[in-house]
Amino acid sequence: MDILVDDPRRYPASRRKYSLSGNLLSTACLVILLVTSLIILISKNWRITILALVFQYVGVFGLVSLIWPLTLAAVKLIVGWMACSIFSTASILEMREAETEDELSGNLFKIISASLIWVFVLILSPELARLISIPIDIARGSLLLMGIGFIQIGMNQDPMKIIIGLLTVLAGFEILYAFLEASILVTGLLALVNLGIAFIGSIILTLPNMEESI
Amino acid sequence: MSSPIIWIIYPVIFSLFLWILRQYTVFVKISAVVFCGSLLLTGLLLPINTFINIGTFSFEISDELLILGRRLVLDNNDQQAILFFYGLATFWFAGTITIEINEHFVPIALSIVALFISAIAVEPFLYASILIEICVLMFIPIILWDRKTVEQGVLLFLVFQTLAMPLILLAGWSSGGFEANPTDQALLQQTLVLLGLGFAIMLAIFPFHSWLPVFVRQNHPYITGFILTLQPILVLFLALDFLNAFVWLRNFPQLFEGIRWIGLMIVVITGFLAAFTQDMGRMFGYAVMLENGFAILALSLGNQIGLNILVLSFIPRVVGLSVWALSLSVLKYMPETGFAPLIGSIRNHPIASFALILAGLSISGLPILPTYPIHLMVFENIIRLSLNHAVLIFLGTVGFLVGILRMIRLLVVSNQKEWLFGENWSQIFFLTGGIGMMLIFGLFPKLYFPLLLPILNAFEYLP
Repeated sequence: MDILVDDPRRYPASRRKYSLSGNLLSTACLVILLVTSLIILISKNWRITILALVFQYVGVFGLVSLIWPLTLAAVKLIVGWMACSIFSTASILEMREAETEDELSGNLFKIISASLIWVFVLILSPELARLISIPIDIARGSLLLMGIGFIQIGMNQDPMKIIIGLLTVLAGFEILYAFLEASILVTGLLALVNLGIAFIGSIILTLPNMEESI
Repeated sequence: MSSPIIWIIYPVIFSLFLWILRQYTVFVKISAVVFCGSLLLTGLLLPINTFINIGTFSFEISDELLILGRRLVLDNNDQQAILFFYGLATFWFAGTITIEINEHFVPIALSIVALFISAIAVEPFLYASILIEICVLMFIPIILWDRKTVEQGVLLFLVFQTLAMPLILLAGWSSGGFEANPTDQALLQQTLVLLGLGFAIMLAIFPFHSWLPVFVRQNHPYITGFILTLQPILVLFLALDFLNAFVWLRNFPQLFEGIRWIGLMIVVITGFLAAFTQDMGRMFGYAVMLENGFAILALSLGNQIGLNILVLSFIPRVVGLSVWALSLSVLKYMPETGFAPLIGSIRNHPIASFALILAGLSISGLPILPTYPIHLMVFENIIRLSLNHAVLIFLGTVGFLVGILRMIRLLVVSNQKEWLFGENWSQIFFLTGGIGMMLIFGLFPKLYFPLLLPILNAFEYLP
């Protein structure tokens, strides 16, 4: 299905013709986002979580590159990876141990919650795509990340998980907003916000009594 | 030379310089006061977009700066807002001279003030929400630096403020869309929901208020007081920008009634929570909520009187909250100890305790104190619209006053017989100055009216 975005009053930044449905790249990106967001939600091992976050930003980059020039879309990828590196450095500094406890019931609950989010995404994305006139894959990717991010924030007490949840919500929003606004200043400011959140996450991780408070 | 360079770029550079020298705390604090004072004076003396001749030398301060394809504009209409923010910063940084505070606070807070000014200057104004978020992100490390663990309040503050930013950005896009297509009712609903949610989260409106009392309770009062005094004022500026920019929004019939209900809800809930709280450390948070409630009620009047009351409320808010925060800092209120050191403190810190009592009574809106004329004007105007609403406001205010009276009881009940002055001379000087300002602004409110009313010149389409 083609979506023609041609209202210059509402969509000045992106008057382009998109044919995304069936597009291999957007489908691949959605699959990446689906898998990585689920891993981030379930995993208790910080290495796996950060690795999933790295791949999540690849998915975000893939979707944004369908809208923006590759060079501008690359900002999202680079900033995301920088955030991941800040996190991993802080985690290594703190010698954060991998928490490998197998909590079947907890994980099952999280998978069920994530499945509910997927159902909501499938139901809501056509409506969002119609309301804002955006390609449906963009709507799906954006809603998916925002939904999983909200669950991540709401279901965890570990500050690192909450910070990663915030980054996930922001990544989802950025996919959506990339379609609505293509300003370089906004891209730069949102990059600063992402790095700022990662920086705060790293400070939190390196607080002296952090391990006790988790 | 342009005005954004003077009032945004220079302060950021100077704050970096101060941050490098942060271990010389007294020097840094005094330098920040002198620097903000000089920016204040510059704002008073230098007109923007006018040729200035000094002997044979002539120059002009232009009003815009281009950054990444967007403009930062600070023209003569914004000058009063610049004066207000740098005046507030001067006042706030002066208070740090007399108390023990994190060495990072002053340099980073100076950058935050510069970013607040950039939020006023940025065009389109929607980007202000991202700049506010960046301020929040800069502020959190100040709290965390000398802590051993992260408290729930800080995380909630971060989460709520971060979630508000996308909502405001989407609301801005959606508002523009509705202006272009005014028959689209779905877009209208979407815009109103996004706007309402965004501002409700930013201003800690029920049910998004839970972080505020906890945040205040768990952190240094002077540091949290700074952000909780400035940030809501900037968010209210952003709300005025929305009303100014979108004609459909200010002409939307149910908007101001809806805002009034929100304001009423905040005042009533704050009064209820303050009256029954067991933790007096939370009272400062309730004071911020009450002030937000009255500001929203003033905005809800939807006319020039309401807007005048709104901007006039800024100085009583700043004076009341800053004296409150300073008193708590002098009384050594610390997150670890809670309110315990303040019990019976009137016997060993009489001036700080008296200042705290006066600040509490001022925020409650008692006569001869600065907030009284503001609350009275809101009350008078609401009573003309609805007696029931006025009764609710009265009940909310009484509830808050009950909380303040309970706090006073804790401060004055003591087994100690003798009077001691635990404050040092500089603390006595600043606290007496704060008490004096409260009394002067309370008795002669018209002194500051001409300073604040021109702020509204920046919003040319508002009534």
